[in-house]
Amino acid sequence: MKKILIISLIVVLLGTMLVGCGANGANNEQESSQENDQEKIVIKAGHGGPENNAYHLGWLKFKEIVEEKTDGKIEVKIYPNQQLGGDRELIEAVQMGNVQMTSPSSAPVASFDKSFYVLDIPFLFKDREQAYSTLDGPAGKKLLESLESYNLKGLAFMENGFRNLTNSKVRVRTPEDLNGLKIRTMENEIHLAAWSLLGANPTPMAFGELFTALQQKTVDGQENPFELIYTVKFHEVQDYISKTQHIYTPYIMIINKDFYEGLSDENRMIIDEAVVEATNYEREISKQKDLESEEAIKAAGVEIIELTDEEKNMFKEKLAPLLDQVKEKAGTEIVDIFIDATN
Amino acid sequence: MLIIGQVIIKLTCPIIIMKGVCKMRVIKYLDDHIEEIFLIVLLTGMSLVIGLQVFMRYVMKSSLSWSEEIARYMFIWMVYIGISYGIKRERHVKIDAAVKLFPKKIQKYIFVLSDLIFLVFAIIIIIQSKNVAMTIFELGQISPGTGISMGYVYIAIPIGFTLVGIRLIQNVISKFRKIKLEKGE
Repeated sequence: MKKILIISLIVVLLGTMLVGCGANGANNEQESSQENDQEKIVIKAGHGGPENNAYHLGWLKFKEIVEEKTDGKIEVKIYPNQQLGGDRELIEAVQMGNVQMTSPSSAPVASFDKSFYVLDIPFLFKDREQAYSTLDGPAGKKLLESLESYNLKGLAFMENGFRNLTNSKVRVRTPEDLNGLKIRTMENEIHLAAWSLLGANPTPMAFGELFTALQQKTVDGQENPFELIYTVKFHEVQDYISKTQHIYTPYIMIINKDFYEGLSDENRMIIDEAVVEATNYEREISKQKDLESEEAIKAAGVEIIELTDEEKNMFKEKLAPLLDQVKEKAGTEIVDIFIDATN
Repeated sequence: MLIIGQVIIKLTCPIIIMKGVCKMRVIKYLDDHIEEIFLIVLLTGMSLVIGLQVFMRYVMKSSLSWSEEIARYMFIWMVYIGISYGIKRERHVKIDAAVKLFPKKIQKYIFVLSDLIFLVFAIIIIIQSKNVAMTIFELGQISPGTGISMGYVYIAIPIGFTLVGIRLIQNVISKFRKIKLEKGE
């Protein structure tokens, strides 16, 4: 009896192994024949945004344009919602060529390329138009070029938006109101130093833990653009939003450098054009969504505080010493270029 | 505490006793306790750093930017050292229901075989993860909070699995010895 059992067990085990091998082999053959026939190129693109977010729509636009112009010879596969990892993991994957494209927020890029700390200067851009013209102009180009020594190729700046401060304790109008307020920041020394200068008590924390932390009052406040505040439903656990608009955060579209250079000139041009078109499209939607989200948040009963120019200047003055710290991190050259471009 | 005391004794003993004898003792000691030393240091460090962060946030009102990150990286190191400790203690999950179907004589060999398969897996992981860690070092990615190279985090995998490999070889040898002994009887 036992012998039969053992023999049947071995047969089953070997059988599954063989079946597994067979299926694999067949798949490989199919794939390689497909490549030979059509020379199809697949671009895997991952990002961290939810699917109703402006920047996923931007990616869809990119996919549409690229696939249309190449008659489907280049296929773009988009993986939203951090399916392939968060910003840091995705940048790393693009560097190593496991994923071809991604579009992280600007802060995580700074741990790969220090020049990107320049975008952490508070009140760098006065308004959207200035942000667009600077980032699309020579200053932005210079910044994207610096990525090339890290096996990445920067393509464009999509929009995340201006960051606003939310909290559950006081109506923040001036830096004095911030006294002792616990504010979540990204794990980034510049941001931490900025809120310390303003008199708050900044606490670095991963984004995923933020909602619970706000709910349980581990921290009192946080700062993010309206669209994100609304999609993540921070307005449910926050009472006041001050329109500080202290930092403009772009999403940086990047592609693996070797992959990009390995494309034919024609395909490269198509991608470049598609990126520009998708970026413009995304910025339009983002602007719209920003306004819509603000309205929706207001309707949900959160008080939105408009700051006068005078009040904003008070923040700006207090944050002036930060510039030297940014220069130290990002390099004087790139900081000067950006300061010149925005003045 | 006992272990730390013993470490000090063992490490200072070359000065006191004959060098040759002592060297053997140190190696024997490391063989017995190297994972424990790492695990104790890492777990203690992790708890202290997190405790310190809570103190700084609520009492001193100025949070640390590096604490959470350091604790996380310590945890990663702990996991990979812990795999090796699990092998040494033979505490990894095994399904012995299938093994029990075989005759007693063969059972021992099947356990050796499973160790060997694990060894092959460990070698593959060592090679692959070493490449990844080296690439990360080259590309110079730093962690946002502490500013240390991310390579120091990734290198935990090849180092951890090297320990795993060593422990597996030790296990295979000792199992063979046992089988031989039993046969001799």
